[in-house]
Amino acid sequence: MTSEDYNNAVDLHADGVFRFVLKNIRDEDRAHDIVQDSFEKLWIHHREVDAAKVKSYLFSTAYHRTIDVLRKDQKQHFLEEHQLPDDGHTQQYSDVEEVLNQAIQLLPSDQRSVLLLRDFEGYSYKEISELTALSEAQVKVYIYRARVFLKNYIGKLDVLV
Amino acid sequence: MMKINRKNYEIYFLDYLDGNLPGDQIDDFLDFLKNNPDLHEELKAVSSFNKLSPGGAVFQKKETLLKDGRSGVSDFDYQAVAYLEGDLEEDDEKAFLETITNDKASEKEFDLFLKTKLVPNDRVVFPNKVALHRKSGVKVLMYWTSRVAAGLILLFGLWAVWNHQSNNVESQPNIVQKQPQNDDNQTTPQKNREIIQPKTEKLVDAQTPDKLSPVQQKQPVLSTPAAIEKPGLVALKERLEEREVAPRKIVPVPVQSVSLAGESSDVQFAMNKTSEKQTDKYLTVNGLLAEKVWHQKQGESVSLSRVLTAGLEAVSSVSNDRLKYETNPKGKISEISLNTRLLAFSIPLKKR
Repeated sequence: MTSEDYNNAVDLHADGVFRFVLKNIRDEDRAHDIVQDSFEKLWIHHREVDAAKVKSYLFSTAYHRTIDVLRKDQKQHFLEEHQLPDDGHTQQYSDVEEVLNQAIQLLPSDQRSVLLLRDFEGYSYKEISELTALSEAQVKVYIYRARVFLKNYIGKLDVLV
Repeated sequence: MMKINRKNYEIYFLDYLDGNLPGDQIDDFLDFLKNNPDLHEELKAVSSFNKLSPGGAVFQKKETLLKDGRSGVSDFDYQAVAYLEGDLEEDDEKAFLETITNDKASEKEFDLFLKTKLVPNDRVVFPNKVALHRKSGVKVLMYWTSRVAAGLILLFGLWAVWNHQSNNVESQPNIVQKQPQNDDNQTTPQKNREIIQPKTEKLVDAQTPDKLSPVQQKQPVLSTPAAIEKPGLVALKERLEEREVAPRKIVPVPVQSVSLAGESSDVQFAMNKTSEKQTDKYLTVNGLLAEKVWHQKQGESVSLSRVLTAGLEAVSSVSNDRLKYETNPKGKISEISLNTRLLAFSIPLKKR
């Protein structure tokens, strides 16, 4: 791809990648850094990357960097995942979006990532498996489990039912 | 070689039972059994329990341990998610829709599944997208080249304006001085000519007083001539134009012994040139250089040093002595210096 293609990719995909990463790690500064790293890597390899596959390349890079970041502070996330559910259920929510945001953060990182790729970017199971290096069956399982978890989570809140 | 005895016989017994007892030890082994009938009986007992049968026991409900995509998900949940993801076959899809249409509880459950569909928030945008943009190497080069070029053009423009103004300031008093002298004496003595042309070392036509026409004397000719063909020679032209006024007004007198050898003033040369050849209004830098080299001092040969000196003199004249050079006792150029308001430097060329 040319530098012009690269700049087009910035305009087209920077927001999408940023949203994807931000939903995963809920830290704007780190999300910003990951997006920058992803585009930096793309620029370094821009001559070898096919312009038609630039979006996949960016999301794949961002996904793996996000996973790396999450693994680094796995302990912290582990605590959050196990403490937040009870707090969440005692709160009153104003809309579904707020509840979903809460619920998404409770998903295991793999499930959350594949679900975001599926819903935010509309990737197929095969594409997600290529992006995440998971098998297609694993991707499918993660998506099913994530949806059921979200449904059960919001189903327990009387205010939404 | 170790021999079988009552302390190590177990090893020999196991080898015998497994069929691994070496042939050369069999005789010793049989002798040992003959001499130890109690151990012979023990060997017979052990050999009957040598191989255990695995039996026919099987694990029941093996299917409960199997894992697949639907593990932990009820059939309805699976159908609902599959419908959302578009994974259901056409017939299954119809069946599922019938189910949720006929069953209120299922419909309610399915509504919850519909809410799990995530929608990206378009208000969340990457804040500094411009910083991610890149320029190609050629563009960067062009960018910097154009920057440098713009800077040079600006400097040249400033220099040209500054130089033009300083020339105007210099030329005005010369004319003012010249006017009263012409009125009083109707001639131009050598001293006055030297005042008008302070840089002129020798005046070729100084001995011949110039006669001035009264009408021409009163004409205040200070404006720049309209026809300037070469802008690069502005400074030189302006000097020549000043002088050009005088010779035209002076009654032509034959020039005597024109010799420019060793002259450094372009002005005098220009005047001589004008008097010699009326059609040439002024000299180009190339012409000036050629003349300076050609009219060398007697006995001095044309050399690269001479050409360089002449070139530096020409540049010095054009730049109003902002560019100067120094020579060593041998006459070689030892240093070149530039001194302007914006920039000043000197370049030593040879040791003195």
